[in-house]
Amino acid sequence: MSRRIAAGLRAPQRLAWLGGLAAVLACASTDPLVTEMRARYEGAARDPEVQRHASVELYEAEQSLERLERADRLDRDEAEIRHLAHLTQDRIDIARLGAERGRLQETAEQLTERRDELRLAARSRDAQIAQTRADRAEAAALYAQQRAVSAEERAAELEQELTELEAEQTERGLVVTLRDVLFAFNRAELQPGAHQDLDRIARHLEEHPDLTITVEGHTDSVGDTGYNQELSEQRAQAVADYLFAEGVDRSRVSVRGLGESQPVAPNTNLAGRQQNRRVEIVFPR
Amino acid sequence: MRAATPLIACAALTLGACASVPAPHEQVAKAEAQVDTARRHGADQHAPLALRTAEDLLAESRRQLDEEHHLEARRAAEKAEVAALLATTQARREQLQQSVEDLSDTVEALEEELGRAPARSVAPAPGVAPAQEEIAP
Repeated sequence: MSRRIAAGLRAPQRLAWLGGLAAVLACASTDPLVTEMRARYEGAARDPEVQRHASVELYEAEQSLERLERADRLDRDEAEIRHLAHLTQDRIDIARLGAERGRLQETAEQLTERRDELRLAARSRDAQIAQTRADRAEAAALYAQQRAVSAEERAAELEQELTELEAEQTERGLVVTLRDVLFAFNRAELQPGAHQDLDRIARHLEEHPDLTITVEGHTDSVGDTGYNQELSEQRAQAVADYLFAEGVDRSRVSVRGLGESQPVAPNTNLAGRQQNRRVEIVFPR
Repeated sequence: MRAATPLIACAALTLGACASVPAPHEQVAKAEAQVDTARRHGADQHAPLALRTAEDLLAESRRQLDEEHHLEARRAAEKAEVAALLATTQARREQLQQSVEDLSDTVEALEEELGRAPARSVAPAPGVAPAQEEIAP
């Protein structure tokens, strides 16, 4: 039919008609594969998940599609069209996978956050449980302690009160040591620094009228033994006298001089000798 | 002669087209890089089929290049590049899928341990069954 129409036209008209037909054919001849790819691309492009998570991949797919459509318009060969359609299909698949990947990424982030919250909650709960247990143990210990023998309780109390004087628990009882710096060199007079400690002891004796004490003087091994014995007695006596002056009853205080007989440190060096020169106040058990 | 001219022109064009296709070294290099990337992203484990496709296409493009079939080499290289990208994306997707499943299990176990219902729901991941929720009486 078209041949008949063409034959009926004059030459210039025929040329124009052929040109028009070619144009129409070129447009209409869009490869169905290309149309299919355009549709698939648009399907992906409409997907909000793809738009949101795979915009770069979608752009690449669009570029690939445009290349395909260009090739189709320029009437490249079948093999190239098939090749470019293949690439476009892969690009669309990548965009769809990219959307899933993005969605999973988001879910993973939310779950991580949730997990961390829960871990924190679990940890603080565990801490709370541990605290409750510790509280109970402490209460039980306190109860047991309250039920303990009164003598022990009293001893502990005494120890507590004398802590400030650095009292030491020994076999003989609590011992407060007055160092030799509290005496003038080679003399038995107390230095003013000793008064504070002795005032505390006097107060303590006042508060506990049933307590008795022993005041013991000690020296190092330097010098004559007899002299040292005498010096230790004098120093012990000086301490006792101070306490008497503070109102402590004489009957509660016994005084002993032990000279160099009971060193607490070696007498071979200065520091040791200094430790040995001392007065001890003993609170017998 | 007049009739022969278009034929000659056609033949010349065809030959020219063949000869003028440059060796697609760049495309092959791109494909190689993309396949490497896929491997680095664990595609051999998480997207083995997709990676295999990309590797086969890359091998094909090298073979065609050796035989100076530049057009075929270019097409295979382009396909390999995109296939490798597909493998990378898929591997990443699979890894995330695994993470989401693991995380879901952990969260579920923690919620059970703490003995309380989820404070807020998390959108279920594609392909992951939503965590069972307790129905309030």
